[in-house]
Amino acid sequence: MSRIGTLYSFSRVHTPHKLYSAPYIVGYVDFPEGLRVFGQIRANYEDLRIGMKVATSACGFGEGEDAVLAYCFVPAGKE
Amino acid sequence: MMARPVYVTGIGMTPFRKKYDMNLSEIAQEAVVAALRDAGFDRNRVEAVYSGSAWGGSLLGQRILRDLGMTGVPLVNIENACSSGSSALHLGWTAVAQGMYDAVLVIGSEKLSRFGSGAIPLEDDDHEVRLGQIMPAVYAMRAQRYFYEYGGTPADLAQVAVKNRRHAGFNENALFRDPITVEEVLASRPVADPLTLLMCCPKADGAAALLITSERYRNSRSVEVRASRITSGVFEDGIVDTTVDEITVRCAKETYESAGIGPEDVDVAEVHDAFASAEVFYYEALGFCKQGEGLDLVRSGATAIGGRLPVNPSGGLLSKGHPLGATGVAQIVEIVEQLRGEAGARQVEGAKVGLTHCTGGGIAGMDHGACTMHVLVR
Repeated sequence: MSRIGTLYSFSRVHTPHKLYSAPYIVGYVDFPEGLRVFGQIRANYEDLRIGMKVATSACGFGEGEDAVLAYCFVPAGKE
Repeated sequence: MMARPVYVTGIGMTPFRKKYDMNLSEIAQEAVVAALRDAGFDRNRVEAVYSGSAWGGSLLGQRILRDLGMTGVPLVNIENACSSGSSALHLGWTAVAQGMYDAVLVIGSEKLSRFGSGAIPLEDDDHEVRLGQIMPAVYAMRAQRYFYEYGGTPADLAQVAVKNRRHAGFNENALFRDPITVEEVLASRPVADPLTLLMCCPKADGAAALLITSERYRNSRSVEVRASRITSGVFEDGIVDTTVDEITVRCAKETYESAGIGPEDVDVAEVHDAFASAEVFYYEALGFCKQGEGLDLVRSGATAIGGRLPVNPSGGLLSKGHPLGATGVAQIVEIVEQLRGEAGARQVEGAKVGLTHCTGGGIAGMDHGACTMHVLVR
């Protein structure tokens, strides 16, 4: 699957899911294979635009014993 | 299927509140007694009961009816997220339409104060939820994309909240009744950009109940339920347009066909405004306006009381409050009052055809888990 996709939409969450602390950014990314994938985005919120290219990356979530590594998205060229 | 006419013959609901000190079954009992009293109907003649609740727990219907001395009847408890109550109505309607029963009781009830503050919890077996998805973000992302496709601003969305709050001012059963301004909506706490707190429906406690009958028990205040449709979400993981609420479009088509009407025939509607942006999407999905023109409809005032097609005269989920399982049943209570001409200061003049729309649940890959719609005719 392609590593680069197009940002379909995004939002900054201020009332977090219990596993995370706010604020964090979530979004949907469309890949050329015809797949839309949900995930968190690591970026300055103000830099995000619908239609921009983003890259799949690996991000650490949580702290201590709850820490996990999962996929995330970052602006293309900033990975 | 040859369906018999089905009527709402009795309605009852409790005020929706932030928190009741009573337990859930006691709240629901108040609505049941009110519905039977409204119909002037003997509780011992109720032939079957359908009880909807998302988080009411095991055997809620039995817990509600035990203390009312209404035991031993056919009784089903129904969970379908926010559509739990309207799903219960659909089952009751179907049973009466098919000739199984002449009088059934439909109950919707919920006590969300048990969850404290914040968004209602979603199931963690959903991969999007584990990655941080929350319901407000689902709607926020649809709103962001809508702005991108068609234009619009958060201030436009705020107008939906302002309108529904103004309506709620006329409804003593509504949770929030004090008027708000666009500026206040925009300045309220951010939840998921661009949605602020006052663009999100508040959790609530409350209950509503209906006595559904055949012609046999119809009285002069009965209102016909001309159509009752339910459907479930379609899984889509491809590149789809999330500004089109596919499940509502599909359910609306079936509902209009079943009722033999079109969107232009609707005089008043209660739609599932869980978020201000959702109401706009539903205008379009229900055919009240063209795709991309939903915000124009709000700005024009057409969907306010006094406009061409008032939407959510009760105050909607945004201001009346959203006790999940109770919501779909309370929507019917509102439409019945409107069609009877008993809605007081929020009366939609000359309303003869009313529509309710209730979606349910957040689940990855679907617009919603469930969608129910009803058409009521006087």
